[in-house]
Amino acid sequence: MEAALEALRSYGLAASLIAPFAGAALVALAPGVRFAWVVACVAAIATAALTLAVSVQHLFGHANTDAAASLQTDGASLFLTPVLAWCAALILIAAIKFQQEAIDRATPLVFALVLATSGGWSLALHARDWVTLLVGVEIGALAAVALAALSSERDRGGLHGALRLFSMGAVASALMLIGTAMIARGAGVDALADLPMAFVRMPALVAAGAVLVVLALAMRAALAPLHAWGGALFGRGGDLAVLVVGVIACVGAVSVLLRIASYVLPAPALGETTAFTLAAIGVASVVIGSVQAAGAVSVRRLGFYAGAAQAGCILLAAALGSPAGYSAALILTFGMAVAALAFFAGAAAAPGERPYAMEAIDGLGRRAPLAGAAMAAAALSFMGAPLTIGFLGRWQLMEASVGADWWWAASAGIAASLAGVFFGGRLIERLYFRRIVAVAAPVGAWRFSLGPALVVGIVCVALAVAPEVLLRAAGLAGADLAGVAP
Amino acid sequence: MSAELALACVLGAPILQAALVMLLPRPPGLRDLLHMLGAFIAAAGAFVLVGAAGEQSQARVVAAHPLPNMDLAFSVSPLGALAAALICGLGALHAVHNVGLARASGAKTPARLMALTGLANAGAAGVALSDNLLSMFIAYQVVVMAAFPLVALDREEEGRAASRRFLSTLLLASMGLLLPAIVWTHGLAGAFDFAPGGALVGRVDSITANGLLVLFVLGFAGAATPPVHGWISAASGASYSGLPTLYAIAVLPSGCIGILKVAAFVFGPVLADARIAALVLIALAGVGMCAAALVALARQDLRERMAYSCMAQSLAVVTGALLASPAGIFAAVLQVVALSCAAATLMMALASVAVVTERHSADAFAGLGRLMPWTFASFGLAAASMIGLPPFSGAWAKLWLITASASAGMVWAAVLIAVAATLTFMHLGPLAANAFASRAPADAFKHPDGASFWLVAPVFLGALATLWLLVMADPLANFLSPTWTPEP
Repeated sequence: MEAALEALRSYGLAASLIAPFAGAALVALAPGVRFAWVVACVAAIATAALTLAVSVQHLFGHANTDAAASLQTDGASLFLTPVLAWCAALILIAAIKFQQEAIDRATPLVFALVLATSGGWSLALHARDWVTLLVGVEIGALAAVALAALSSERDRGGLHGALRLFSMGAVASALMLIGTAMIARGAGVDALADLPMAFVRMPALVAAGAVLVVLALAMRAALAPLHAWGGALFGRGGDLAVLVVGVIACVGAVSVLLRIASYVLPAPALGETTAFTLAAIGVASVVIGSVQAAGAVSVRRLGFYAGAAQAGCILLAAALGSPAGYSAALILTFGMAVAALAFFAGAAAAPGERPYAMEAIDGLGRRAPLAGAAMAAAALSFMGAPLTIGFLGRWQLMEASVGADWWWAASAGIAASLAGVFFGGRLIERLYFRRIVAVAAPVGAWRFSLGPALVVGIVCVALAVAPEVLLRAAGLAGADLAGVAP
Repeated sequence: MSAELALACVLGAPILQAALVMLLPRPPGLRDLLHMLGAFIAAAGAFVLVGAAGEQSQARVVAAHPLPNMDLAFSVSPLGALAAALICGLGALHAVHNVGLARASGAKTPARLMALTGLANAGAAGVALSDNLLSMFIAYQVVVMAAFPLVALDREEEGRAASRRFLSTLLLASMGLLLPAIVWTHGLAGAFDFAPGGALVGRVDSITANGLLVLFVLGFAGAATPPVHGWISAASGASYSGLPTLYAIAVLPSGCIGILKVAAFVFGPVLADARIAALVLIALAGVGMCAAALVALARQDLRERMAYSCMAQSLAVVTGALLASPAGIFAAVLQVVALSCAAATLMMALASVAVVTERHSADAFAGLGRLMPWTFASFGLAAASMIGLPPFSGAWAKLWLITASASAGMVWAAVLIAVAATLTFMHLGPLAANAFASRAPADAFKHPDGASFWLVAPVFLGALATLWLLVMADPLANFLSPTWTPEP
């Protein structure tokens, strides 16, 4: 036992980052679709278990980081990597359901790309320097593009979405590359952790670089108004692509943005500009995302826009730069991930020829009670209804904002909840108070593979009933991000 | 039964009942039994709580810890216990009536109706028994979320539009006004807890007190204070079986009780510092009261008429709560009791009449009292109480309200209350009188046996409940005195 703990302490972090890529390689080479799926699930669950063990050990056990030269742990990486990894594992378990209808030679590759997407964003969350961070972001983003293209090939609309994701991703990559180069040049440091203490020779250059990095990641995180790539993909893309991009890629990008903010905000020459940029994008995303969600005609787009509004709240919390603000941002990010998982997994159960259309979920609560419950729970969480994780996050945001005299940020959180009433109420009404219209296609036993994602989504949304452990973890991680001893 | 167990029963039994009814919708006998059993257990628990509150027992149940240093907790207080007894007692009568109605009407979704009424009642009892502001907010959200499907139940597109309007009015007000008020109060008082004598005492200036009062009163849109009263007309088209929950037992009373608790336990004497807002709100409530009674007079559809009549009564509660005096609070509590008993009786009577005669309009009620004497006798008693005729509950409530308003120097408010009572007489009095005075219509019953025992008994017991303040007003004042007397 001691030896195992010691091994975990020594190699756990590196192993948790290598596992998804090794798993992806094995899956890509595996003979047979179902065998590939089993290998992918094993790799994803092993990765998730490892990341959770490492995080618990570091957050609660105060273990020393003993990572490879280009890796580093902090509050964001410890809190959010297990969230991403477990979401990836649950999506992979459900993935066989989506691929059943179109098994071909590329299917194992699809599973491998899910692992690569999760692995890439996890790597970015553990990056010690800007180069590793860039590599991680690019792996995660490009894998998501490839996945979107492969799982949407039957619908031109979905392919169009993948192309848009690729094009906007290319712009984001360019911005991020230029931004990181400007920061490295102006501050003279490569490591993220050195930035707050660095002597900044060219503050204007570094500040501009930080803004470019924030904008690039905001594009990848689908923060409004930089989320134009999402409409096509979420409207017509494949279910698996929607789940992976909506849950792993968007949440991964928000997580990395939060992490970078925690290094940039304390830097004397950069803090003010970055906080302003984060807050401005946050408010815009809350307002635009909420309005778009209220008017959405596609159920998956509704989830996408509601996620954008939630991501706006995360940015507002991060912009505060205080332990309470980071803690709120972490809870909100967790809430966004689990609500998106429950929402898109539930939406994937919608029947009919146009499963993305609003009518497809009419009466879904009766036809598929678990999927209906998952979507309702997610909608309530996006709405910020009491006793959901969304409420907990918004409440923390409000407390942190009021504590910093940012009343307008608290108002933005309330505005998001108000808008949530419109789209959440509309969704619940369709789920439970409409007659079933869409014709259900014959479904096989593999539909049960969607169950774990739905159940975990519901349970996590309901975690707000007894959130002590979550709050403690977020408090410790938030204090770590703010550089304050817990 | 210990007070803690009673508290758990009041809040848990309706929720458990809802779950069981949904899980076991067949056979109908078992479903109905479960529905009534849950309601009766909750009612028994609530009456035990009244006894416990009379003995000044301390009981507190913590359901969850949703935020740091904040419990989702419920506790016994005289006001809370009385309100819970009212909600659960009427809820038990309504459960029996629901069973009768489901059988007589061949309702399409009785299990869902029963589950939703149970949940809404549990939420309303939660508002009454909440130990702090956030628990009250959460319980109030439960009421709204459980009640909004009732508006759309068994209806087509117009029902869905109405339910959307209902939900958006109540949720927007609670999220946009009530929640900020709670956050603001937390920022000022440093806690969410209710305190006899007022949690804000010594912590706010006049401007803040005025602002907070407006947010709280309008945030509780369940009380239908203009301009957040849009849900009243939206919900008036709901199925008959849902109406008592919406207007008499859960939604409207929970809004009134919420405002009462805030006035007594958050503001207390600070209400005097919020005089400008209180005056404006009392004027709004007074004018709204008269306007609602006038609109009721103009409506022939009985559901709409009753909806506006209930609105007029609930605004009287708001007026009493804002008078900033113990007499005002007491009058408001009496008014909640009178409103709930009378409105529940009237709504159940209307439902009974509608299901056995298929008559929905005021002009179609003539002579029906001769065919359904028990139902219409109860209707008459409840209408008299609603109007404020002695010796029914409503009379004492109105009397105290008028006295308290005049004592506070607001004679105009007393006049408005009297005008509203007169208008209530005009829209309810002739209805009850015509039912007996006119000739009985031939072929009135669509159901050959008329109203069953399940439909008549709860209506009659509800009517009897409108009489109890005749003998209980004084003991009730002693019972409630801790509400306005700060702990030493």
